[in-house]
Amino acid sequence: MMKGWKIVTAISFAAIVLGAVCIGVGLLTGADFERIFSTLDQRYQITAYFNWLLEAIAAVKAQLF
Amino acid sequence: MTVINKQKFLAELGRLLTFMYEEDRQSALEMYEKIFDSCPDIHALMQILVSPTRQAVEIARAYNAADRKLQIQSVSREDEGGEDSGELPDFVLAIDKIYQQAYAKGLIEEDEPSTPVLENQISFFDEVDPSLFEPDEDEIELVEESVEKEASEEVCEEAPVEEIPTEEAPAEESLPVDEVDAFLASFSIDEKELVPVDTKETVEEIPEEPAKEEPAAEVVEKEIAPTQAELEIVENPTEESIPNTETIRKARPFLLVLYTLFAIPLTAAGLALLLVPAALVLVLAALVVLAGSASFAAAFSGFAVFADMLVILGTALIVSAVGLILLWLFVWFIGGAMTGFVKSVVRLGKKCCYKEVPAV
Repeated sequence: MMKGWKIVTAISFAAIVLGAVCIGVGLLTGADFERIFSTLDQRYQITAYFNWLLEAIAAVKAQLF
Repeated sequence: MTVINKQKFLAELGRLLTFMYEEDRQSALEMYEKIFDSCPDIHALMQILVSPTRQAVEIARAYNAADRKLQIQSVSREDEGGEDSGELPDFVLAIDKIYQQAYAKGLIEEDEPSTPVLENQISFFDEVDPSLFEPDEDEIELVEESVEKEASEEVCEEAPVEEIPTEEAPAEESLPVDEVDAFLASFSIDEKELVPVDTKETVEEIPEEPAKEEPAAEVVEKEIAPTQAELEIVENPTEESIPNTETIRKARPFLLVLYTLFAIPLTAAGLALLLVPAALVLVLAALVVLAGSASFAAAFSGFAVFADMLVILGTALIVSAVGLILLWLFVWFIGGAMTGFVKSVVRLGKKCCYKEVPAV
């Protein structure tokens, strides 16, 4: 088990470092978060799912209290 | 290299000779050191010595702790004016025999001493001349006078406590020399103090001392015997020489039933408690891994600007790493925590409900 934890943490740490480097390079070369969010929203309807989640929480609160 | 071999040999030999009294051990080590120093060819000497274990066995066979104790006591009585036996311990003779073997083979160099050897100097490898230990008449008189002075002082101080008749104190001065010796024989010197010794106490103490020290001697003998036995077993192992120390585990029925009745529901409750966080972690890990894989797919298909692609790729890598950790955490819950919990319950049951019984 200990050996497994060591391998998993090593791989995860390497992936996190690589991901941070990629984000840093992307930001330095002109990435725009609004453009990224609008592209993701068009693809995965993030705003719609987020609104649905808020309505569900409000409905649950209304029923409980 | 030769210095290291000698030091290693002496260190190992010192470790093996712990069954001896400390003084005898130091004497033996000094003798071996002298043999090493007087022999230039270490390899030839090692052919005679063979190994520290072999020498330890030889010394162990020649060393008897009980006899040695008697010798030491006799030496201590010599200091009080007794007769000198002039006998060397057997282990010294055994080491001297090795020296003679090396000398016969021409390995020992007789070094010319830088300083002249005194007539009274004693060597471990020479026979002890008993006449050297006989004190001179002047020394005897001086010792007697000092003992008389101490005796007179001690008698005056201890008369009210030790019930020594005070008539003896003033009468002591007028006693002749022979009667003074007889009077002094009833005292013994303990840490430079004269302590009166009753005859009854001496009779009682003498059997007590051997009784108290017999366990120590027995312990030493036991230490010697297994040392020899173990070494002989190592040299010539046989099936009969291997001791049988098998034990069998016998169950305690009442405790076993009681433990089983309580352990099963408690273990089930514990496992259920552990399953809840395990399931939560699994759900979270699945969501995170899904998000990471979706991010990877989006990075290569949805974005036209390379910078945006890099940001999404970086985010996907970080999310995937977190998902991997959560997945492994779930595996640890199932394979590590829960199985470890069950194993510890079983181990506790074995410890409480079974006992080790020697096999008949």
